[in-house]
Amino acid sequence: MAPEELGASSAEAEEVARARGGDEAAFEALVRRREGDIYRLCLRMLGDRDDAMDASQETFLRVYRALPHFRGEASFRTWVLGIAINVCRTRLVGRARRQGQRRVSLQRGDGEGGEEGVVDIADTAPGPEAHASAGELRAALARALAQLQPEHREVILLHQMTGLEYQAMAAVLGVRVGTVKSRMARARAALRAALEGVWP
Amino acid sequence: MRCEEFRRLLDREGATAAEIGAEHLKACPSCQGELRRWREVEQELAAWGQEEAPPFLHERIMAHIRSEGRRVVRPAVVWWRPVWLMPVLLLVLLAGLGGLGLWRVLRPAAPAGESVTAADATARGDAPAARGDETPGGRAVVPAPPPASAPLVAQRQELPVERRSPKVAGQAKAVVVPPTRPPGEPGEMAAAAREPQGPGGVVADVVTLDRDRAPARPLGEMAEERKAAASLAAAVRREIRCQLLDDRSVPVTTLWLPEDAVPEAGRMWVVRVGEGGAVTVEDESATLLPQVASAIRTRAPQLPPPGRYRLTQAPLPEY
Repeated sequence: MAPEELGASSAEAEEVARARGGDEAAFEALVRRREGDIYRLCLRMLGDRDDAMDASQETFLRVYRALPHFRGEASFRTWVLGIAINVCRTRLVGRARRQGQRRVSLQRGDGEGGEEGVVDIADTAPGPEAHASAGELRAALARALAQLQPEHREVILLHQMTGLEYQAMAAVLGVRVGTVKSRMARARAALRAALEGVWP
Repeated sequence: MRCEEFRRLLDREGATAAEIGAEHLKACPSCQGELRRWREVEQELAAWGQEEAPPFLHERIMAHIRSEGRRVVRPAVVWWRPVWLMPVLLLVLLAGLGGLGLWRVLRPAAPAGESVTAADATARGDAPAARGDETPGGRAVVPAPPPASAPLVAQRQELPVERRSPKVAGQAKAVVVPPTRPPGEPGEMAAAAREPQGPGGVVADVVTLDRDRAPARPLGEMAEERKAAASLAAAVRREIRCQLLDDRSVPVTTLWLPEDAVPEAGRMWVVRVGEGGAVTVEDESATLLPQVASAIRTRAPQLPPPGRYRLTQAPLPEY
């Protein structure tokens, strides 16, 4: 961990302690520190800015409610990212239910760790490509990510976009590190396959 | 290393696979292209992680938390939490139970199976007792509502009554008379006494109020009945059946007089009827009793011919 990151982590731990004691300013500082991470993760997971905003709100509301129970076993960032992942999963399931006719495939999971099948949805909402700033790669990557199963999208985003190590990803996702590695390998393969023909 | 092995390594390790598969990469342009493409993907994904969040995101999140979070997180004030509330609730409960017990004690209760006559009901009020067994010949006079016959039926329907023979139930009788006697009908009361279905009043059979036989009714209805009984008792006046006897001790007329205008049983007062209906009454000490004379004038169905008579209590009529 870099010294500046260590310092940030220390300051964050202090803010967490104050927020747990009812210090609203400390909690607001925590939100300000992590809202960008959470919003970007939600945006890429859900592919829609409005959904990402709502998911971010819900994430921090859950954080606010659960903060008295936060034991500090993982870092605050890891803990909040885990909550955000759960919020996104819930929203994706709800979206799949609401748009059942748009469900294009019901694929069984790859069997890793006995994981159940994951619904792969064709996101008809404005996709990540609609929000890509520029460039063919960005649009192609957003389109390819939207085609991935959520659990693959999660690990790609957590590792490549958020920069979590496998250990932290295991804490966020609540699985073993080995599971994270194998899931990551399948996610990369799926992403490469999705990019073939779209992006040379 | 073959291309397939390098692709699996690339999937497993990402861009770091280049160090492991460096030899294969030197000889394989396809895998070099695949590695280059993946590095660009990683760079693009890392760039996504640097995107700015919307400027209003923070305020929106905090507003959401302030509006909903406080409501959720702050412990709700639970109504049963205050410590003082429990004793208050206990006191209210005890007061309610005490009131119920007091009501049970104070309400007029009859022993199970005991019949209560209408005269008994009147005796519970302030009116003098009208039980026939206590004062033979006693008679309760009750003001009747304006149609003469129908109201009594209605009154009987209101009260849980049971008709009995007067001989069985006693000598008390409840007589319903108009609330205000119309002038010119002074003898109506006596006619009513003779005729149970008389026009101005109805001689009622002795009625019994049997709580055990009465169907269960709401408490409110019973309370109304008690009120009605109390008003009935307040309206009751005792009258005694009397007779005017001629000089041969033959009854010439029968009339009902207030108990304070009647000689004691076995005693006689002298009544003189003069021309034009003048009536004077003297007791045994020759004291004039103008109130009794007035009562005779107004209550006798028909005044006897002028002459001297004796006023005495009459035996009860036979039914």
